[in-house]
Amino acid sequence: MTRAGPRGTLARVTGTGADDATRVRHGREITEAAAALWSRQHQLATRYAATEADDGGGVVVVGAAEEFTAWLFDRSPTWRTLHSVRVTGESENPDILPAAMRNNRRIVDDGLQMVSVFAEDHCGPDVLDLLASQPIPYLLAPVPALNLKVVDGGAVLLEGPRVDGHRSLMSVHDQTSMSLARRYWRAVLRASRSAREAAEGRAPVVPGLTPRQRAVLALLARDVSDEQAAEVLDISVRTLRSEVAAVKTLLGVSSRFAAGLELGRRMAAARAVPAAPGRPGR
Amino acid sequence: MTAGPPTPPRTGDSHEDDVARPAAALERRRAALAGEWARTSGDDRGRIVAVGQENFHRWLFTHLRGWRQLDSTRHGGPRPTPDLPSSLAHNRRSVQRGLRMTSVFAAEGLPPGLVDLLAEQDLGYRVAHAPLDMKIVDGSQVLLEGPTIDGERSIMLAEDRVSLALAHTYWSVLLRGSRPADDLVGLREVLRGATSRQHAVLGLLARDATDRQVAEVLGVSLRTVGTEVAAIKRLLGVSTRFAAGLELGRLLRAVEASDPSPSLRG
Repeated sequence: MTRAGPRGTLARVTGTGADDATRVRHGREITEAAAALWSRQHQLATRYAATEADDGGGVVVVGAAEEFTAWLFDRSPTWRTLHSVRVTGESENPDILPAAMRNNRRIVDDGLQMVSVFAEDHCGPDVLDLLASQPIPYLLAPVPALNLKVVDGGAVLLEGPRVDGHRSLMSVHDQTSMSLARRYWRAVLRASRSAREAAEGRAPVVPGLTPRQRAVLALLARDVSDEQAAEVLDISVRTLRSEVAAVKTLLGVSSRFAAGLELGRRMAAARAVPAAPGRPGR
Repeated sequence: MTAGPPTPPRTGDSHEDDVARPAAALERRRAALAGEWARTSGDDRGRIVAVGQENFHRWLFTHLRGWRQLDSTRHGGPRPTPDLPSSLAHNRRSVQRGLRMTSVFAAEGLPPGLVDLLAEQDLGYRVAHAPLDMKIVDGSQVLLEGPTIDGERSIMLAEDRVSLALAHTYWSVLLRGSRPADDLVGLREVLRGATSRQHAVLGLLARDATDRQVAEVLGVSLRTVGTEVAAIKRLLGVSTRFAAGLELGRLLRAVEASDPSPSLRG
């Protein structure tokens, strides 16, 4: 996965970023708030590793990212607001993100108010294209690797202890954690900007594609089926296939295998050429 | 099917030097004839036989039946050329009918997948530094790229003694420096654990072939192609063809990064 362009460049393009001094201040605020929350998280994770959940909180789900997504999806109907900071891991299954997009849209359709911020340094161009394709206004911010979810302004969900070698998610309710979480969230939100604008301000790997076609490529590259891709983009399978056909034409190939190969070739070429300094949109 | 070259191949650099002069001489002759015939319908030295790639293939596949021997060199190109699968299928059938064919592919930009594909064909395909495309029919006619006519490339056939002599010289030097396609490093180095047929399937898919073309070229059923593609996807750890293409590209780049010309590694 490639990284997004230099922060300064993207901010200039989107126009949402502030000047350098402000950006530096925002970055420091995030780092400090993250450090404080991280040490609290570590403290609680150690405590909960040995005990069952108590009133103050505890481990709520153990497993891979799939289990986390499913657990959130099950619980979300009772929630009114969800604030989320998410770092997409390179190690996670590539189809986790499409699945999360799909679930998020469903729960938002059901009335949940969601604000979701992604760590921009971990968002490759394909992730940006995916986020931009969604009706939910996803945000980007320069956040460190600290995931956070705040439910209804109260319960805080954080990465929990390792349980039998698996990752876990813990829920915490104590005052200290909640205030640290709120501080982190506010710092992240202050520094955030629209994922859609960031995607538009970036030089595409394949020029001439519509935003939806770029999202189609991002999904196909994540090895999802046509049906899944159509669901994520909220379009029919037939529409999806006609978009794939248009993309193939643009890539100058007629099969999907060759299209994948060609995209890979162009992605490698795009990576091989470093961005010219100070040129907007790379 | 075809006999190997009379002498063992020599090292790459001196071979390139050896080929350069006869190639240049033949190219000068080719350019002169192309210039003349662009304005005429040819003369007793030869003529233009087809304008446009498609027409040339139609012409070629029609005339192939009457030929006994074909010495051919062409480039495979780094980019997919849609005609390649059907050319290979025609070659296979012609050889089965008794054509003595020696076919040398240009090494420049030859993708690893194509190397495997050629090796898999078992028709004695060879690879060499070959700067000029050419075919010699029954030792007495030369097919060369002709003039551009109405924006389309053409193919011309020369039968005069000068062209023939130049073509034979180029061919013999070319052949001497060539090596069998199976000697070269191809996908089998990139994707260990796949069978040679799977390498060939990958090579064809990478050149944008349809399943039907893959089946035709490899002489297997469509169902077998499907089975092989499924096995390839498993091997690459993906479930769609798009992702398989992307993954293969990643593997190829890893090889190319460690060696700028994998297809020429001995």
